[in-house]
Amino acid sequence: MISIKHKVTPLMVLFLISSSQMGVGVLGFQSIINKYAGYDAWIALIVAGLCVSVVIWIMYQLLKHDEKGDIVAIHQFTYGKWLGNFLTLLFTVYLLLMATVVLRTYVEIIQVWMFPHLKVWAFLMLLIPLIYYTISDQFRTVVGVCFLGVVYPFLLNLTLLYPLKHADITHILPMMNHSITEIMQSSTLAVLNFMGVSALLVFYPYIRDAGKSQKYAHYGNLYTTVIYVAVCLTTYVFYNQNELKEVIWPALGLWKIIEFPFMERFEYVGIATLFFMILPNVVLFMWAATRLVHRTFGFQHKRVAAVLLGILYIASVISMGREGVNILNDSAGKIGLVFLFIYIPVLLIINFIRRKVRKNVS
Amino acid sequence: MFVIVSLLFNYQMPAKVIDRIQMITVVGYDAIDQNKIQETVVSPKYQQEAQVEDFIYSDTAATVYENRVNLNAKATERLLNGKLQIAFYDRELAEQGVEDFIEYLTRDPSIGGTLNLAVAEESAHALINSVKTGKGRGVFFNDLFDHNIRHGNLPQTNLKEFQSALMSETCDPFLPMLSVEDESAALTAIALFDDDKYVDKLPINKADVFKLLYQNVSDGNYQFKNDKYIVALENVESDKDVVFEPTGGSGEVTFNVKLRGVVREYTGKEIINQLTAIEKDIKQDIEQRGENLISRLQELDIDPLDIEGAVKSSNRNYNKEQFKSTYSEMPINVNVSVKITGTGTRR
Repeated sequence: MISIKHKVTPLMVLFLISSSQMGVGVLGFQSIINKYAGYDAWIALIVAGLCVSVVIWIMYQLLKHDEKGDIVAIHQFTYGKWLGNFLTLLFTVYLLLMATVVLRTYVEIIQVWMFPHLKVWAFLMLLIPLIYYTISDQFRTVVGVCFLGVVYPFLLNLTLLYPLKHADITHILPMMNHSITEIMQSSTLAVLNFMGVSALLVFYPYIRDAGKSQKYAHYGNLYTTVIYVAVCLTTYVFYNQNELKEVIWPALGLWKIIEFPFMERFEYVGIATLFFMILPNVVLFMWAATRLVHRTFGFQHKRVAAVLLGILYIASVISMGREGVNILNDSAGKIGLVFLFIYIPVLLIINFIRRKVRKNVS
Repeated sequence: MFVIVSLLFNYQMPAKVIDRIQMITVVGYDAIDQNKIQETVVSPKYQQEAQVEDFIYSDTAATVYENRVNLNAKATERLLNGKLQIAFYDRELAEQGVEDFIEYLTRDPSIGGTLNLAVAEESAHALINSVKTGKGRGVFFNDLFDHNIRHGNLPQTNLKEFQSALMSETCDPFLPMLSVEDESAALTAIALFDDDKYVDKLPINKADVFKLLYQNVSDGNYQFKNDKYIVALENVESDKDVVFEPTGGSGEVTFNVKLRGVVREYTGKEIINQLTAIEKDIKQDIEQRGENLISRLQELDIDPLDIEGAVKSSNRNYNKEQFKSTYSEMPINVNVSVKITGTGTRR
């Protein structure tokens, strides 16, 4: 069992959930989700947010019936030791993939906007020890980073007001001019930006009174959804849809128009602050992956962390260029969609049957 | 150990030391016979005590980047885009289309969104050379645009606005137009574009109506004269609202403009008793001129006021082909209400 002093208060779930969801996606999702629903895609975000809320509910249903209360225990209980461990391993790979996506996309932005000559492999050497330092010891360190990951970038929300000077509301009128199907299709694309919630399956036992933390998880998800919708609406009144097709990171374009007498370009501050949004993502996913391996195979936590960081490092260096990053993003999105909306509900059903059967036997 | 290795290798990144680069503030492009572009760039050098000396380089080549190579061959330090504030295109280039140049400006992340674009009526090179100023040409042009946008007849314009209108399916862009008057640069007109090609211009002293119909004005001015009196309004504030009514074949568009202003110049008598009459005269004047302007735009088949966007956003049955075919005959009305809020210090 995890001793009480290593656990965190239920309120922290809010920060854990929303900081795990918000990451590099917020810079570019606006020009991805509009593929089907056009300027109505912001509605798709609300739909996606609601769906993820349902998934959070399902996760809590799964987790609260188990004493140990994490995915490893649930997998072993539901599928038996071998199949269960194999599925846990797949989940670990998925977490690693997400960490790679986030880290690599962020490095790409630094490369394009700030230092075109940046050597990725050398730059990552600066970040990896930092990540190792955070994840190798207690979970509370990770939570601290996640907490700051919500608080620091909060000020960036104010920068959404400035671009409204160039906004044109006619870009998003008339509302709901796309069919429900199109909006649903777009919301499947939007889900990529909410996928961080899956880490909940791992850190659940670290929450004090875990059963009561569910509302905070929903609040965290709500906060993410509100921010996303605000960013998306600002982007859609600022750009017209044709323009969006050409832009890779619309949110950076919003910052491009901001000018202060003492600061020529705002993006540099923005991108730097964004690091506090990226770090919780990577740290939480990497911690979760480490924890899973540690729980499944019983290896020492610190060693696992070092090995997984090695894999993260190599994966980030190999996936070079815009193409590589795109492929990473797409595949992470598809896997996440299947995982959250097909695998987790199925897991709940099987787990439910399994519990009934076990009860009847005993 | 990791940190040291990382710093060592990234230390070799090419640095841009502030004393070893020249920031371009103004750039001008001229069409010189076939497929040749003359590029003129201005880079300020700061002398002591707030004095600025502009270096002007100019060369011709087929593409922007080829030009840069040539220009760098003339400059003492490396020329960079980070501080670019104004880009001029001469009329001939504007007639051929400026889309490729815009593409170049928006792809480079070091160029900001508030860059000003403008058309030079004759030659961009001559225009840039004609400026005599102590604060540097970049600041000079930037201030010129800035105060004309804030208080003058020039509507909001910059790279972002132009690109937005250019990429939009519904509206056409416009740009300020400058020319050399009495050996110094002056804002003379608004250049109207059809997609990315220059088609016509609107003199700047007649652009006040254009601005009223294009955006909400927060501090403008308006002059009116007839046989009996001349009146000038200042501190003009306006709200614009475009209404589409799907009556008849093509539907009907109405611009509702609410205008408030303070009288600053008046040549008639007893202004207090005349206010309603003045308001009525101005109202009729703006409506008349607005409708003339719109019918001219309809004749040219361009839509810088984004009428199509207004129709599209308020009509679910909007059909692009149908709109395009009926646009030139569409009834478009201007409806103005004028309120004079003050008459200054005299009775």
